[in-house]
Amino acid sequence: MTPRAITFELNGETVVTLAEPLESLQSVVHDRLGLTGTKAGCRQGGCGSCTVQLDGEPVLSCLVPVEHVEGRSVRTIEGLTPQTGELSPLQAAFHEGFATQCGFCTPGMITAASALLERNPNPSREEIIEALSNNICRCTGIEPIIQAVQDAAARMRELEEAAA
Amino acid sequence: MVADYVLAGTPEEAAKLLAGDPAAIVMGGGTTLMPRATRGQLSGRRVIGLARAGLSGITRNGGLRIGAMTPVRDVEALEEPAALAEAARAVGGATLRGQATVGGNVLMTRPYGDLVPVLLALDAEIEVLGSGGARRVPLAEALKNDPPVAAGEILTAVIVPEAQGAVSFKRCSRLATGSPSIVAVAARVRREGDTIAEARLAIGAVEPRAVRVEAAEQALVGTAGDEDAVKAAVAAATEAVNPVDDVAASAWYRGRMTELFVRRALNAALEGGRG
Repeated sequence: MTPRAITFELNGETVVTLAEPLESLQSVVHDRLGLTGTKAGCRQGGCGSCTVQLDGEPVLSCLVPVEHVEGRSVRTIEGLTPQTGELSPLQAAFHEGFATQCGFCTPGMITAASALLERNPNPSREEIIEALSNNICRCTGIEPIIQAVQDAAARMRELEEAAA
Repeated sequence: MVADYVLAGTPEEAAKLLAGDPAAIVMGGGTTLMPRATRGQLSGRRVIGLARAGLSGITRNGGLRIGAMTPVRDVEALEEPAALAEAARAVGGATLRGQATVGGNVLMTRPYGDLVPVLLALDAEIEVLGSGGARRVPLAEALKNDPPVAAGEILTAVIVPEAQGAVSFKRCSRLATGSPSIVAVAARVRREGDTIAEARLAIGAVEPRAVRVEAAEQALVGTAGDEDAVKAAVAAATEAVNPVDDVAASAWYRGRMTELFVRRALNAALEGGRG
């Protein structure tokens, strides 16, 4: 079977890429399209380091056949990073709160947390833990990460109010 | 690499494709098959995908009809049956539950489908589609076969009757979420007056397929659900199962936890069943 062409929206731009049948979205994004923020950790849906947003919902991209994203919209950590060179409030909170150490889990954490804050700007601690329940960190421990999401949520609500 | 991946547009098309290639593999949400594909374990096989076959959705008509491709996340959101929603929340982590499907959960082994014990306690049936048409089978009967769905057939829906009596779900795992079950137990008790008229006890994650333990159910029926009856049911359940060894727990530990969690599940159902 020869590779086939797949078309989808990646971080706001239409991309056309070749892919093997049942190639994972993680492999396509990372290896074929060169967006290395979407990490391959366990390749079996256990670690969360490959989390991306598919039509706004977090998914474990190592478990998504790329055929399933045909015509749909994918956002990766690169697409969640401001193009101005600054950090997003969520990224800044991770940085300032020492919620990242080796950094391998961080893109997945931020992608999952950002999907949570999109639908729930004021999540409880339990809701944050729930939203990150598919993401493992083996350096900092999960506490500074939970705190960073809470801090970012507060900061984003402030910015929202200031803008209103 | 797999030979081909075909996304069927309807369940009938999927069944037709499967009839044309008996060696083909049917894939739902991909949460168990994608890692195998990535490891090269499906090399040369044709894979038939159900993601666009229109099998997702829950309809309520007294009981529930849950399409096989319904994400586990949608079951988690159900108010009733509460025990089924609770079992759904035990599956994987939050992100995975948006990808894992009810059909996959019913058919998978290791890690074991946590919905299955509750579905057994509720006397659920499954609907399958093959070249000979559609048929409905009690889930408890289907699980006696391995695989539970015959070659050439596709699981299309799970039919859940309205719960009669009180239903409970108790599970043992290393972590609260994202951790496979060591044992998952569901119980249902329906009383008539003070007497137990009907009982169900189903145990998952202890043997390769979840089982209903009729001896334990019989130990409860006709009693008031007193301590002696529970003790007899727990003893019958522990005796009936043959625990497996795997990365989550040893057979010995599973056996001990079966005893404990069967007792907890029965007591929870008995408490919920009063009044």
